[in-house]
Amino acid sequence: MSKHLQWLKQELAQWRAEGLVDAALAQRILARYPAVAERNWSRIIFSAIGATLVGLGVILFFAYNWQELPKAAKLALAIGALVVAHGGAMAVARRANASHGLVEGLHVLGTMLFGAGIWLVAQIYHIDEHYPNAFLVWSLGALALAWAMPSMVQALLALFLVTFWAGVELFDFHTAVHGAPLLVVLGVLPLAWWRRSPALLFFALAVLYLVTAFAAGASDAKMLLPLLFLMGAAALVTGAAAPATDFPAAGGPLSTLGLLVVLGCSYLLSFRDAAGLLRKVDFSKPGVVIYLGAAGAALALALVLLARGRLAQLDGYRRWQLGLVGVGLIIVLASVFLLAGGGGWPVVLSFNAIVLGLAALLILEGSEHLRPKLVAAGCLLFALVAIGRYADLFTSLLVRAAVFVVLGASLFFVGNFYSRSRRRAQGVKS
Amino acid sequence: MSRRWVILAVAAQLLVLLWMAGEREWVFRTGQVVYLRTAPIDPRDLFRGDFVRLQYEINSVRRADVDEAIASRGTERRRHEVVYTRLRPSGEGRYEAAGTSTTRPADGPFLRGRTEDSWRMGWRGGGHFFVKYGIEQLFVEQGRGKAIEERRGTRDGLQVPMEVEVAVASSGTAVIRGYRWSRLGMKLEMLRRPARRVRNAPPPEGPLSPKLRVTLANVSDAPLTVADAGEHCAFHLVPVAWAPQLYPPASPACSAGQMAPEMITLAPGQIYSAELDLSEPRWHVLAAGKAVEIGALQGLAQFRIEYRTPEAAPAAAGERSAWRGRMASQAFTANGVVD
Repeated sequence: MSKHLQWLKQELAQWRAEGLVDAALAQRILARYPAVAERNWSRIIFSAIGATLVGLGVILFFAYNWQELPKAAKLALAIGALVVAHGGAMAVARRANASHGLVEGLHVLGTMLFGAGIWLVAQIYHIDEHYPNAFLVWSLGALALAWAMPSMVQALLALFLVTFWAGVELFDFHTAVHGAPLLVVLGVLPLAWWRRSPALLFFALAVLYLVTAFAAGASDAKMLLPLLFLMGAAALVTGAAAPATDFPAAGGPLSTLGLLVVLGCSYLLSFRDAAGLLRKVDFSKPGVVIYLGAAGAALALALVLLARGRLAQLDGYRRWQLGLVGVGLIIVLASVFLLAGGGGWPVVLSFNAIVLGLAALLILEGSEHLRPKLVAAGCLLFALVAIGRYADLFTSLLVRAAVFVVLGASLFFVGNFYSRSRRRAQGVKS
Repeated sequence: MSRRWVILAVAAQLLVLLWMAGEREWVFRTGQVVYLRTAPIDPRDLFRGDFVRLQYEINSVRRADVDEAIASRGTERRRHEVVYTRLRPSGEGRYEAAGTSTTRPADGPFLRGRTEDSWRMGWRGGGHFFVKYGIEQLFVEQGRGKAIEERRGTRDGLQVPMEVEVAVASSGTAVIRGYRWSRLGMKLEMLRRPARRVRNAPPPEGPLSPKLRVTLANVSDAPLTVADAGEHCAFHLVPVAWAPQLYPPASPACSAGQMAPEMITLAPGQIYSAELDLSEPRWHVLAAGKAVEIGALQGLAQFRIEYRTPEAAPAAAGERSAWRGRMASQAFTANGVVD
């Protein structure tokens, strides 16, 4: 039972005792908030963490490479352990009152043992192949089970392994792994959509941004900023359109991650040096057309989705936010495609204004809807802009002092504004 | 949860492991056994514990020993390109490279490998390719890697090559079966270094090239016979594998016809040493058609001293204790710096 429902039941009991509501009305109120059958996530998470740690222990146990243990015994141990873990999970799942956490945990242990088995076979036969491939195979094993069960924990394990795969390919072998973003797009995002899982969608999107940055950056670093900005804008627009789809809860992760990426890019472009990174993209390099084309297509699709669904219902804050992001996107694309890069002062000033505008929107929206996290995020952004400009614009101590005074006064004003909004909402006259 | 799909997913995991193990086990049991000489180094792997990194002689492939398909690309090298290195016997079950090509040889034995990227070749990339065959790691129980490295020897001491036993499939796939130690060890000592040369200044007085002592040691537990002839004609000055330019010997003093090998039987632990003054005409090399000592060469030239059993020696010895083959020292520069 959720905490809110528990609170409501306690309150209703109190109201009945005080004679505010009768039993029938209390029942009708309760009926408006049906208890959603929830999984015991804490148990699942602890089982998964436990299984992961046990699996890591097994990997390190095999890593000792016992000379006395014959090859056949080592293989039997690795494969047998995998069979026992998965077999045990399936046996538990068949019971009527099967613990979902235990089943998840045993399957995660099985997949960890699958990874251990890959390394053990390589150890037994002294295989010195391209080792990042082991992470790819391991992640595919986890992904197969994520779809078959279906399991969010297996999907998260697959995402972690895909990130590791793309990371070691980039940092150890200087290789762009274009298969990693493709694997997330085709293998994990549809699963998140199918299971209507906002949490999996959030992590899949985060990993998608990361591995795309790895692959695209290694192909042509110049496309990184425009690509991430495009992807962030696409996620933001999709997030705005999501409430009108079959998966309204997708709006949260899409909007949050999209805004984070757009803000990150915008903040970076508010610096003179970073704005200089906006250069003409070389379309002859491998993957450039595909990456930018795919992100552009995603944005176009999201805009169509928004136009057909919820555009008219968007509140003022969302419209302003999307408008500012749109202006930023036009500047980025114009700098890269039309102006052949350079990113001069007009770009820097524009992005300073965009970041400040987005910060103001967060503060205003958070204050109106009494969401302190939004207000805090807006204030943080505001402070970051001030700190950034403190370092690269102002040399006079007097001006720097003024920056701090303005920053402090602004935060004081925001705090006051938020508290007035709160009192107004609570109907208390100051 | 669909039970059938879960069973399929688990079966897929199992099949991957069985395929990996089965393929290698097949080569292990049915492949042709060859010994490849290597130098072991001891690092550690996060997931698989201690392993010994093996650097085989066949990992370095001279540009001169590759087929036209590779050589014609000039300095541009394609990463991870599949290549085949043919093997030929070099004595005592050992095999050495007999050329590398991009096309699969009609008959064996040969190893299937991939070219490494230029980043890993570093500054040595000019004159050779670096090829990996998937047998460059030997996994050992934790703590034993260091012992192997110590047995191999230190830079200043006696060095004993490791000879890795490899099963080679008809496809060129190789699987490590085990290893043994060479019966012969080698030590290189610098007895005299030439005076340092100053750029744009006349050459210094005295010899321009170093004087070395090369020691062969019987590191087995049985008597071992080596051979030498004339002016230490069993020893040869060879450029390193990555040298961009080859310098053939200028002196005919050790041509094959003139060698009358002297057989030297070494008891276990016994050594045979030869002092080689590379300033003497016996060691001069041909550069631009002129005979010069290596100290007079321009640029950073690196060489090794290679001991080769004289061709007539095994027949003359006619016994199992005779050591046959070739063994190279560490690389050194013309001014006497040992690698």
